[in-house]
Amino acid sequence: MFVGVLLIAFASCESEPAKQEGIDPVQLMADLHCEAVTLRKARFELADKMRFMEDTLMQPSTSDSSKAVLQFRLTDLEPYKDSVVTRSLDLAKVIKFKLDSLIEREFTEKSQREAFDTQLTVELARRGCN
Amino acid sequence: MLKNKVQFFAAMMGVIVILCSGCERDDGITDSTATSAYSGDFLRNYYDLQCQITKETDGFFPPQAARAFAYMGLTSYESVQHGIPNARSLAGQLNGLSEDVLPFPEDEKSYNWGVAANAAAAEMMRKMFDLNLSEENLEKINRLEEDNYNQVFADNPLPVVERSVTFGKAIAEALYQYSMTDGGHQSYMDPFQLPYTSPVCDYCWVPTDATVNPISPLWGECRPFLVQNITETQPAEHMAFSTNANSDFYAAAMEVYNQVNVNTADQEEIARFWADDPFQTCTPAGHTFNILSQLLEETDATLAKTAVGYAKLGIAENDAFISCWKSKYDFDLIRPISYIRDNIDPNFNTVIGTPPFPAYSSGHSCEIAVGEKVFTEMFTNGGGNYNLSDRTGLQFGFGIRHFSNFTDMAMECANSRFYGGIHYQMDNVEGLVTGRKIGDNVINQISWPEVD
Repeated sequence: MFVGVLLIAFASCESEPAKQEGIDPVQLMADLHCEAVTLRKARFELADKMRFMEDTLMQPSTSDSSKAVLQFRLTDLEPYKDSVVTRSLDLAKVIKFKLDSLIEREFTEKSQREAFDTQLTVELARRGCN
Repeated sequence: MLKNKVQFFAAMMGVIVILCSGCERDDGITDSTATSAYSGDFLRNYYDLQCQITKETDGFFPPQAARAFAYMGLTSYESVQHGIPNARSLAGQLNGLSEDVLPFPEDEKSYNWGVAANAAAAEMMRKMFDLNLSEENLEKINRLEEDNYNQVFADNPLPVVERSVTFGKAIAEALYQYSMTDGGHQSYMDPFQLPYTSPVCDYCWVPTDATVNPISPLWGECRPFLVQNITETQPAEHMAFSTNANSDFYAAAMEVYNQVNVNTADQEEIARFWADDPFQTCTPAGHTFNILSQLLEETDATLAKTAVGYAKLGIAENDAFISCWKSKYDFDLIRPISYIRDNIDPNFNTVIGTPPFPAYSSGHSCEIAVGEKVFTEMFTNGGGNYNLSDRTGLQFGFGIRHFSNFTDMAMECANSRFYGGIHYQMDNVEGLVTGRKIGDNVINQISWPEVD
């Protein structure tokens, strides 16, 4: 089930809707950031899942058969971990490039950046991406 | 006619002498454009890349990462300091780095300090990751070096470029040789420093997850850049351990337990934000370097200020992790999760994963406090006020966090470990104290040039 949730999370990130030039910078960054938020949540959920499994593995009361199952499931999660990390890093590079470009070309003044930060924060809250 | 020519020649010589005397330093280096005439933009790119590579390279835990950033900072500074008025080399100022070990520019020859810094940074980065550097990441370093050169420095005379590259690489090599004796050389190959046997006692650290060996238990024996950063910064003994429900220690653990149970959504977000990421962090030191890069960019820092900033923060971060790691393994204090499960609630869980090393004192608190001090000194009038919007986590799905001064930033980072359930408050309080002392030492005990 957890893997299913992850796949749905990935699927929701598949589209990269706002890479075109000329789009409102706030909307562009909000699109990208919302994808990044989804992936971040997937990473933390996966990390929690794995550490809780490891916790159980460490308990003396856990039976050998349960430990074997947990160990198998932990190993089984590794490819998903690699996948979510790779996707996150790839998206991070896109976001960093876009953000650096915006700062260099459009928001050269600190006041402009602060205004951008504020607008972006509002837009992300409106979309529920936080 | 001849007399006029002689007068003209004499006048020109006079002008040249005056011009040269204006830029000449005591060390006889002339005719090179001052470091402050270059932008620091290209150098920041190396620190962005360093963060990326740290994430992708095995064995780079917080101490190893801080060390790698530190030697990058030293190299950046030493490759350009001859072009900064009144700058002093760190050779002769840092522990174990004698005055005669670093190469010196040739007398009466011109250098391009930007070219030197570009070559030096690339060379040191390759050396810092060395055995574990992937082909892909090696290619990224090489490409950055080449791109910087082509985009920023390609118009320079070839002899100047060659001389500057040679000098930059020689600086990197000399500092690398220095690094090889500090106790952390290629420690990424054995970050757990095995074999190591953890002490066993009531209050002693025990594994909190599947990582049964603690990270770098001998790191406190590494050579610091400033001896006093270790000898003068060790925290007093923590409160007496006890499992008695009326004891101070029990109360400290109960405080963590209660906090985790009443955390607001914002406090949980803070815990995750400063923890950076479960799988792809460039470590707390990397986060603080990212903030420095943002500050340098926001203030249009010259190459001189950029190099000084990275050197100050690098020295401080390196020593912060040595000092902090020394106290961690000297005291070997049990983590809250282990104590709470044994004495308060067996089902207790933390907000974020507990890292595999002892509690006292907090590495995050110590390292962010050196950032607080360095940023306050470099970017404020001493009061620490600065409207910082930390965007460093944006690319990884974290929000932008706003601070009105650097002390608030440090306090939030320290508190994040408490909200996360992984540190007692005393760990954070003492970590901040240690880090601030180290930051002050680095600023005041080393002779730094004034840079705009």
